[in-house]
Amino acid sequence: MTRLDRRLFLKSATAGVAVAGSGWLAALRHPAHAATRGGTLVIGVPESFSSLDPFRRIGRLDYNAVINLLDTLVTYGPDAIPAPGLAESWERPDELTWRFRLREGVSFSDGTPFDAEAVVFCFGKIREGNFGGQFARITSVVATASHALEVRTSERFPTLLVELAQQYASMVSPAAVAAAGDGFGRMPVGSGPFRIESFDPGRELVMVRNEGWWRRDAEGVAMPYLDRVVWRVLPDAETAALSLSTGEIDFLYALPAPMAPMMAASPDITVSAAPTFGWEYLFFHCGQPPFDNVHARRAVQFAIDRQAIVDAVSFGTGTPASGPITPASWAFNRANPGGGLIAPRANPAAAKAELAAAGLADGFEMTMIHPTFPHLTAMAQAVQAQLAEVGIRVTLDGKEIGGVLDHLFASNFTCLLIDWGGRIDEALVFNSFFRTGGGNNFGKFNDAEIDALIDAAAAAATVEERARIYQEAELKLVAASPLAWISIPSELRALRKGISGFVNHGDYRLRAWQISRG
Amino acid sequence: MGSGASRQERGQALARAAARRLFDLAVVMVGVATVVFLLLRAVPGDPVLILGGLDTLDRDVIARARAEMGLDRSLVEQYLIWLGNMVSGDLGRSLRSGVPVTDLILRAMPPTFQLGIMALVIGMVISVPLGVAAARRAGSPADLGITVFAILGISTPPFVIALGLVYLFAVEFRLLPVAGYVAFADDPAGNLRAMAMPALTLGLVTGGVLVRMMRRSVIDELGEDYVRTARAKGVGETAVVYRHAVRNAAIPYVTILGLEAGVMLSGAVITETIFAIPGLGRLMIDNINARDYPVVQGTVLVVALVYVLINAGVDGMYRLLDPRVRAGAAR
Repeated sequence: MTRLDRRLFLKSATAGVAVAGSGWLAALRHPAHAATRGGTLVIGVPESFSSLDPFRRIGRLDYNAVINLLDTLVTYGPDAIPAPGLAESWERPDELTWRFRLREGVSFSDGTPFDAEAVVFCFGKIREGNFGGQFARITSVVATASHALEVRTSERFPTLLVELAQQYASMVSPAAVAAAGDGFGRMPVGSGPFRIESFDPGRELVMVRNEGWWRRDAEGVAMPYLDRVVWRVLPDAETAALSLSTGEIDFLYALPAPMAPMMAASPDITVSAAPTFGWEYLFFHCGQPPFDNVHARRAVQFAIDRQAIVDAVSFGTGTPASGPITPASWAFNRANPGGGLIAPRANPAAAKAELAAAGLADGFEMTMIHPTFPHLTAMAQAVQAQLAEVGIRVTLDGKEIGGVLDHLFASNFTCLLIDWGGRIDEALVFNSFFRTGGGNNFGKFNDAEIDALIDAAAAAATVEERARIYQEAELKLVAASPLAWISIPSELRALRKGISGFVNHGDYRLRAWQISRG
Repeated sequence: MGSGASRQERGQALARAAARRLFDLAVVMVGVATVVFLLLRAVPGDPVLILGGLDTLDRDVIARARAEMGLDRSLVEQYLIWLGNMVSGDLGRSLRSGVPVTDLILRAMPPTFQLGIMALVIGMVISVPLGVAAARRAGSPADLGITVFAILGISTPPFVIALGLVYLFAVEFRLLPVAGYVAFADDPAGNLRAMAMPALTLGLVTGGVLVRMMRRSVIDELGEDYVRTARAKGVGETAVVYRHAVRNAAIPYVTILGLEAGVMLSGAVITETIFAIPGLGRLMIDNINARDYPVVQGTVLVVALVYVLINAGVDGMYRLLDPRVRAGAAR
């Protein structure tokens, strides 16, 4: 058994960061490969698709299919700078008005022309959909010319462009919606890089190139390069890995960390790893003892040995967390991550000092809920052992993920271990997790100063300014420790040699239009 | 005249038996439907929360998704709506995809049925000759060898057999694809290639069970008086074994075969997962994990219905195989 070369992972991880740092669009403008046209890419995916209806709340895999089928008005890569999509340009004549100039000469793949009327129709679908509440501030959407649009809002809406770049704001063919009715999730029709050839959600999704896609690469060559992309459902990780080694599939959508060493050793296969925007972390209930006391939270924060967990539980594929902003993010403080407060190694002396400050010098007992996924169970056991070193006695309560989410959503826990995939935009992360009353603020954390910083960041004009404010908020958050960030999982993919153009941004998005064979 | 009346009586008896069967079937179906409905709701987990995990838990989004799925209604209301629709043959729609459950089930049935039939055929092809051979040479080294083979088939977990086959046929010899499925109608050769290993996996397990059954039954029959009589009359040994003993041994064998056919429906989950076959087992497990209630309810109902039908089929087989059962039904 070959031991995984950690340096190899660190190298590829750094490469991923470097690309993300230099800009997602820059990567697009300067493809590292001379793209070959044609061919089929077969991707092995670990679960069935549910629905491809972008206006419903669907799964992450479903969204990955959707980004390859449907366009949005604004695009938005890991560098967080809104870029033109189906909207060529926009302006804001006043605080409450947005004017969009739409791309001309674009058709949906069923031949329906893309124009301002179609966008007005789509806004209707978006606002009726599960995510309609995100757009509640919009009061009117009016077509002012065949390819011009005016959007009015009831109050300032600084994150409108971010929202318009989300898949739940996809542009779809009004004619196809009318024709498909309830079946639209099976056959979504848009103007994106590919269109659906066939779809059997439990077996296979086949996409073919949309010859009329508007986007060109740096050399002015039409994208996408591939003729077809086949997403084959292979629920068993072992058979999926074997299918990759025999060449039945070209690309493994999700490589389980324990298999990474074996895959990396194969001469035919490249393993791609990059830190994600997500975390593996602990929720504390900040509204009840013992974690209503910041020192108890900080004691746990200091007692965790993150490096040991990354090495033992994640097979060296993750990154020890330094705070809420991850190395994948445009807002990451590279000079001094998280203010340097959380070290990769445990600091038992600091943990014991915090326990004493909390009036819990002899430690305390608590129950930790965790999902029974193998790697999170192993992580929970590691945390349990590490906390025991400083006198915190943990009883583990492993539950199936459905049960864990029930407890989380009801804020019915003392301490809960879980993971998430992250969001590209820190506004969505900070608002949801750390703002008083935020959607994911299940530990009932509240801090007026941090709320004010979050609001200031949303209103800031430039990405640099926003990053600076989020870093300031991060320092306060690490000190207040509403969560204990443990590690940053890596986005792990495996692909056969000869597949080029795939860039791993750690945002769990497979942009098949950038990929080519040879 | 007399024979006409008796035929009429027999017809009425059959009609009564059929009516009783149908009534039993309805009771079983409503019972299964209710139990599944309640069990699913008793399991922790919420379909809206599970889908997409923590990626979007905005309360407004959750509430809208829940309303769209009809989960904001009371349990009693949900139950009555579902039961009412079921009576008219409508199993509802998937919570996640909005696709009618009957579509999903109809799509998942062919692979599972094909897999089950192929595995049973393989099981029978293995078990009849081996079981009879072992019985005729009971106690010999050949019998021991066959018994060891059968027990290995029964006791090796299907996933071990499956991965062994994959390693051999797909990785070493590159004869068959590792996993995947194509419909027979789309590509007959591809379909058979894709189904070969899964069918062999299940067939070996079933074959092991059936070999044991066939061997035991034939040994029992060979000790019966009628066999001695036949031999005393000078009937050839092959005829004694196949025309008399095996025929009588077929009754317990068919019973086990029916049970195994039922197991194929629900027990193929692991095999379907390993080989990526989008059958009923996969449909069920995927949707249990996602708490897609209508899909699980519908699938369980259909599987229960097929179970009942298989049992009825086994009863029918008794009538074919045993004249006494035929006479008993007529009386």
